Amino acid sequence: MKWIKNLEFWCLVLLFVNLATAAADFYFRRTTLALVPLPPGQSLAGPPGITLAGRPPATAACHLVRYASINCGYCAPKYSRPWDDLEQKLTQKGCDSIIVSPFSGDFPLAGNKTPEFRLAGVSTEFMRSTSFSSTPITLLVDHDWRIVWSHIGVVEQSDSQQALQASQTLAP
Amino acid sequence: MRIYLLVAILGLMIVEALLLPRSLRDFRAMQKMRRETAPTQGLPLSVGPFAGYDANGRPLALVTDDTRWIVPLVIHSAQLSSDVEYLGRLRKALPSPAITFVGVCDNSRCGDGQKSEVPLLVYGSYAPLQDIVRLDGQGQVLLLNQFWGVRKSLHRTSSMENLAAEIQQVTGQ
Repeated sequence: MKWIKNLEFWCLVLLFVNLATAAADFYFRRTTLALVPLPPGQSLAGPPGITLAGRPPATAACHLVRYASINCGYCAPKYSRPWDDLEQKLTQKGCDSIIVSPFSGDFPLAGNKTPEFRLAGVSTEFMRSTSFSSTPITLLVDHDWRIVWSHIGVVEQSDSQQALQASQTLAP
Repeated sequence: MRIYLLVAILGLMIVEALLLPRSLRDFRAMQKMRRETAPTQGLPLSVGPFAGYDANGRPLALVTDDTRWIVPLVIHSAQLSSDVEYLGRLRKALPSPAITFVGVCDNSRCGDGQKSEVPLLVYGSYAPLQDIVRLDGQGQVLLLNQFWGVRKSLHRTSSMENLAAEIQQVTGQ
């Protein structure tokens, strides 16, 4: 009888340990997910700023935003082919392409002839809502400046495919 | 009865053996994300080159030939008039043309029709704005040289006189 009591006790202890571990894991996962920068659904403060012409970019059905710099090796045309293709395809679908650079005058070299809005200055609200900390970063944003897709780092062919897939959810 | 309990204990131990490594892995992932998303600490070496524009998108001449020091101050939209007044009083307290004061709006509507003796910047370069706003969040104001190099961070006190005295002490103006 004493054995059974002992076993019952250990069952109970282990059950509590299991529950505690599962709860801790749930907490870690939730916290990590909340820390993911620029998740889909996040709203940005738009319009983001003004172009060299002193005006905000014209309104478009969607916006492809790229944070890049000429000082960033991975923003160079030789790494930007998938980005160029993505930019071309999405601008053909009615999106505009907005280039933001860290210091306004350090725009990356353009790899193709797709028209781009290069921002001469950004608003503090846009800067706060994006908090970019590295280059390149690419965002696909809907008409209301809500993130549909985001990517940190060089855009590869598979990322470009994902962005095009995500763009299908955009309202025409 | 005893065999069932032994099986239950064994089962629970297996579940725990599966859960624990998973929890440790997720804990490490959380720590890594926390480190990566933490704002950059400390003072930047420089916040330039810096381009600034007013509410109408006109470029602001932030630096003149006389400029030796630049003090960018964030104008908070929640206390717009008091911040603009604070900046105006600071300008009056330190009228030397060697010091350039710039109001950095945290809202794109703040410079619209706002009367100020100091230029109000509504749009600016991304990375410098990030540094100015981050330090403002810590109650600090950057004191920059004419090349946008960071000389010192000062405390933004509620008393304008204290900040003016601090600027005067460092710049000698």
